[in-house]
Amino acid sequence: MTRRMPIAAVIVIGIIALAGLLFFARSPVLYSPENASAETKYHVNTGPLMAQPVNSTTDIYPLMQDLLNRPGSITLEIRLRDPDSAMADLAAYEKTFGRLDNLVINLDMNESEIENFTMSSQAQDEILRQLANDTVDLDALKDLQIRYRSSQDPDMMVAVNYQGAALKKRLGELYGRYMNEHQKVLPVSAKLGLDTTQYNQSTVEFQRLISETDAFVTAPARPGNLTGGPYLSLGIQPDHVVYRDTVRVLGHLVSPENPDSIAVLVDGNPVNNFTPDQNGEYTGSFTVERLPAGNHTLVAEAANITSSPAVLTVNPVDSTTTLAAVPGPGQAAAICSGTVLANRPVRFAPFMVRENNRTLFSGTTDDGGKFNVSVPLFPGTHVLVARFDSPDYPVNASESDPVTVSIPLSAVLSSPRKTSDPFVLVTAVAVVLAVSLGGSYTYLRRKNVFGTVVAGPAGAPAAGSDLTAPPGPGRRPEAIAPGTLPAGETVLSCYEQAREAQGISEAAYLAYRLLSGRIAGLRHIVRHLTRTPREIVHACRDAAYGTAFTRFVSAYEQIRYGGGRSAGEQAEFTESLVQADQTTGGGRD
Amino acid sequence: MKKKIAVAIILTAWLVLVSIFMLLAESFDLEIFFVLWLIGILIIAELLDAGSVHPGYMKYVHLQIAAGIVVFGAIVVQKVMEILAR
Repeated sequence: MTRRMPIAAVIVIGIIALAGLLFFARSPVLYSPENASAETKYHVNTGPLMAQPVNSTTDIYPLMQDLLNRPGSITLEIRLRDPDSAMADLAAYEKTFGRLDNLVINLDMNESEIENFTMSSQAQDEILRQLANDTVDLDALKDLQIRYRSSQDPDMMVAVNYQGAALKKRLGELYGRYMNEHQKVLPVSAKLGLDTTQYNQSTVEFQRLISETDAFVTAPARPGNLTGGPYLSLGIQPDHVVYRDTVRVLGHLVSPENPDSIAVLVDGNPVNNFTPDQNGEYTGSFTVERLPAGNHTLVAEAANITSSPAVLTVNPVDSTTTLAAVPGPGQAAAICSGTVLANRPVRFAPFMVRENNRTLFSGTTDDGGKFNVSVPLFPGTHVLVARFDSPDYPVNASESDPVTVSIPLSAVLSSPRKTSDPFVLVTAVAVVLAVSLGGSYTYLRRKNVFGTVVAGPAGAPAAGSDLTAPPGPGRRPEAIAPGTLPAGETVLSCYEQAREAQGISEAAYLAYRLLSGRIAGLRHIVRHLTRTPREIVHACRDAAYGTAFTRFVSAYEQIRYGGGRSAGEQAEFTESLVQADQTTGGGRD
Repeated sequence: MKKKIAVAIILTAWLVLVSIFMLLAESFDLEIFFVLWLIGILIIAELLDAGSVHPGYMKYVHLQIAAGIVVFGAIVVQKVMEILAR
């Protein structure tokens, strides 16, 4: 029985494991080409792809047909000035011939007609992209032509016409290249039985686009001032822009030096360099990004020639800043993410994460106008906002809605970054608290808030010192604390000795210092020598020795200040001294 | 003018000045405000306590300062934890 138990246990565990596997066996998580739901750079599984049998009919021909169908719609969209759709179709076109190219490589179909088909498709993709860009240039030239015609600017009109002529020439060359590739594709398509109806339509649309330029471009008449030189013109389109608009720049250069580069400057700062062609024409563009709102002056410079200025007006746009914040896992921080959006994402722009108008974090957005940062926070509840505010951009400031995030206290203790040892944290906190409490106690003690006597040893004469010695010139008499009388001496004996040595007045003062020091000790009076005798009397009037000390002070004042030197006054002083000495604990000093 | 009234006026003026600067800077920080109050009352207490005359209310001023030192320690503790948390 005992020997069979382990075997039975193993069998039971095995059954449980197999039953558990059944749940996963029904839908296994496997990365196969069939099950791949998305193609990312992390899911490239070239092994099974290479092993897949390729069927020409089912795999290659649909791709080739797809490639043939797209140029027709792309050229139509370009002609109808729908650049977004055209660029989207061009991206799909590029992806399709990329897939076809992969198949050609996998099937080892190099030097084949299909590979030529693929190469022609790639060439046509480049031609169509160039056509899309040139169409934008063409529209810009149209606008400039209208503007300069209305402003009666003959120099710029000539520059625009030259630019138009160059553009027409370039479009003609593009058309020629396209037709050349077209002629290569057609025989292959016919041989494979592919439908070329839409493909042929692309040449028709291309031809229509070329004919539209004929209506616009007229032969330029070279004026006299362009034949000599030097001369440099500058035109921009459009002249009113917002954030991330593209400004197209064109002009004409006549210079005997034939400089290689033309710099375009905005408010004196270069934004781009352009290379003139053999006719002296130059064209290009730049994007409005880090340029404050307002009017800006553009000039073109080449060698020692500067063009007439052109004014570019940058209009501000409103922005929207968003923020989402969650506690950072295992750290005393919040993971803050958000965006800064205007008409387009505000990229590489400064932003701040703030709490109660205090900036906790400053950073810059990425190229998509997004940010995702870790902001260190103390445990507790925090209300955060993200803010974009930069005068360098033509974008108005904006602030996100407040976001509340709670950081648990355990996050500090478990924070792995600076200190993983809670002992360090607890010790640091304890030390700081102990220091502050100790400092507070010391302060109160120094200020005698607790009523302790502080004028003790520091104000008392050293043991064995001569109490009857005169204070000396320029030296204040020392305070005398209780317990400082020499052994065997009493207040009365000290008084008697001082009277013989220094006279009755100094002896009376010594007696007063001895008694007032004793009372200061009894009543916790600080710096009693700075107080008048009557203040000492006032401080001890409710004590048992109050009456005796009052009588003593009265006699003392009579001797010290009243000039009392009679035998009766001296006897009265001596009697009151003895009484005060006895009532204040005389003999115990 | 009595010292007690002068002290109250001076301390109030000091705190109003601090508040105005904080509002102008658009950054009102209660911790900084507290520390500046503590500095102000420490200076006033030392100036008041310099002579041989010790008004009775000085005891309460000293108690306030002692409590302020403890709160200041708590603020330091908070800052220490913030730094360690980064």
